[in-house]
Amino acid sequence: MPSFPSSSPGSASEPVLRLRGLTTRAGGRVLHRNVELALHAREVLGVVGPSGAGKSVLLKTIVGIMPAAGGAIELFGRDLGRLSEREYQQIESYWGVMFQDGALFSSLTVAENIAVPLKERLDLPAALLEEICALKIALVGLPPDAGFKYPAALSGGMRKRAGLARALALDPPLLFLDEPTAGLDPIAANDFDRLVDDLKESLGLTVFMVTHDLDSLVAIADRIAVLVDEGVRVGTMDEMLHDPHPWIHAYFQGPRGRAALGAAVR
Amino acid sequence: MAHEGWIEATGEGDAVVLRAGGEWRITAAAALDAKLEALRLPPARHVRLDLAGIEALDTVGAWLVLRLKRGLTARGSDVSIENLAPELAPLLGQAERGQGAPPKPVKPGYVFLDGTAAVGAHVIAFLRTAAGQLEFFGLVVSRLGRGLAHPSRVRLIPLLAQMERTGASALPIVGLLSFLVGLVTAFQGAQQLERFGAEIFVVDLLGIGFLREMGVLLTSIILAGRTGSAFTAEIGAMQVNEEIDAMHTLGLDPIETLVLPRIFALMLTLPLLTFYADAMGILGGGMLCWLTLNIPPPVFLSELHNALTPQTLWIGMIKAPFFAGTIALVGCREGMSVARSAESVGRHTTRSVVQSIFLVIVIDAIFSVIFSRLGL
Repeated sequence: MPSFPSSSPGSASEPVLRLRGLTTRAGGRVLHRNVELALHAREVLGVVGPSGAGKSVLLKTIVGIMPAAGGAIELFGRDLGRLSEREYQQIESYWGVMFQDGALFSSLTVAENIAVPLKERLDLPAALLEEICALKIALVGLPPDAGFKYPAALSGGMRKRAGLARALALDPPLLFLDEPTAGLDPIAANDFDRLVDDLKESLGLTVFMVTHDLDSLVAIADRIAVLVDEGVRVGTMDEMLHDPHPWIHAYFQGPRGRAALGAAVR
Repeated sequence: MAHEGWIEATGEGDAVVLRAGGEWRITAAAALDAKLEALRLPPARHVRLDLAGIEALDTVGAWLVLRLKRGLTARGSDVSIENLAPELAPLLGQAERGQGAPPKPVKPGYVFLDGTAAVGAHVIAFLRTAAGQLEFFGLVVSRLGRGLAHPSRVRLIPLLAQMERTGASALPIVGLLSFLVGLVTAFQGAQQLERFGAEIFVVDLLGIGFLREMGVLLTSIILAGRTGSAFTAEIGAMQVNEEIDAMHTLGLDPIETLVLPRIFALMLTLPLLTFYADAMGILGGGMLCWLTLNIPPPVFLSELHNALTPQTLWIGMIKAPFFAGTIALVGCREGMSVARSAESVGRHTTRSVVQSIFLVIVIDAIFSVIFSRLGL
């Protein structure tokens, strides 16, 4: 079994995730060309970009749902493309993915959804399994009885929380979030940001967050990656504010950007 | 490489020290759970949980520590957690939120009454389905009236598209199956009739059998499986996607836009397909007669001519639109009653096929009674 650093803090000085010259293609069109990106331990990276820039494609390529057209993806310094099938399956439990609308299995209850990865990868006693599911449900701030409900009976915000609980089932050190606050009312979005921040601090998570939400970026992103012109620009919020690129300027200096920043300053 | 998680008890009397170390993570959770289970502690006033040796911790490990602490506290011990690496402390704070598995909501069970209640529930569900079917039928009929009063409201393009999908593209499978069934019927019939030297009556068997019953039944059952299920799945997927709700808000009537074209299409194509199935069945039987029973085509045709009257054909054909309406109605209604889950689409599709085949056979039986009373 390959050994990877644990999720414990301080153990990884090298980047958790590194993209080396990654190129992706979708529908015959190049979306990203030679993308270089490093994600450090316990960091929240907010990924933004215009619609159609391939934010979701980038996420799906990294987690292996879509093939990369070129370049390498390294997790804890290991090239994912060079792993054997078994090693790859092993490493898949080092990340959790929360899809946009939770992508919960509609025929299973929330607790059963959370139990899916646990049952698939580990042989746990039934009582402990139920306790772990209950713990994850509590971690994401859902009421205890939510575990017995089916996804159709949940509100959008609760589905997202349940999706997050499933993504966290195996305690992965790396978490991918696809539009975590999209479709939530501002209060629920705010709560969700706080939840992610809280979990990041206490569980030592590294977070790759695709988002549109400027408030989220201001609230929890340590650095921001902007996907423009088939490439990526990475920097802190401050650097982004001074970036002359027209799209970045329009995004961060537009009325919404100013409002979000203004709210943060106050 | 981190070490396997361990826990050991030292000290005795009133002050027990529990020392834990190694890797307390989800991968080791099952082993740790067993070790904690096996841990036999004397009842002690003070227990110190010394976590200095813990190298790695995640929420599950933290939960195990916390569960141990709670268990000991419940026994009346005074538990203190010591020497946990400061950066791991927040994990314990998160695990504090865990309250263990909540009790499953259980219903009280009674052996005899539960069985009775299940029978009752099935009866009620059956009546509800029947009532729902009737209600839907009424709804469709009222829209149908409007459609007939204003023919311009009937959507022609969807109607033609549905006719192509339910009719034209079903030709190969309906043709092949009818041909084969005709072949088999003639073969089995000939084997029995041969004993009386009456092989020639195979032609009567084939003609009357196909025209009155087999052609229309075979076609209906194929279409119930092929088209009825497709209606349910299509409309059901739209229901899941909230497309039906969107149609309501846009002033489109789903009955008029989705259901009526499908019902009309099937009612128009099923009789045509039935006629085609009759022909293919007789062709298959005729082939067998010619090749193995030495009944050449001219003899076959003249015998067929003697056996059949236009009435024979009409008795079969008259049933086709009724069967078609039933299949389409059931398929569309089941599609409309899909709830918002993938599993629901599957369940209603199954129900759609089962119900429509069942109803087709029941209606066929009713027709038989009517025809026999009429002396046809």
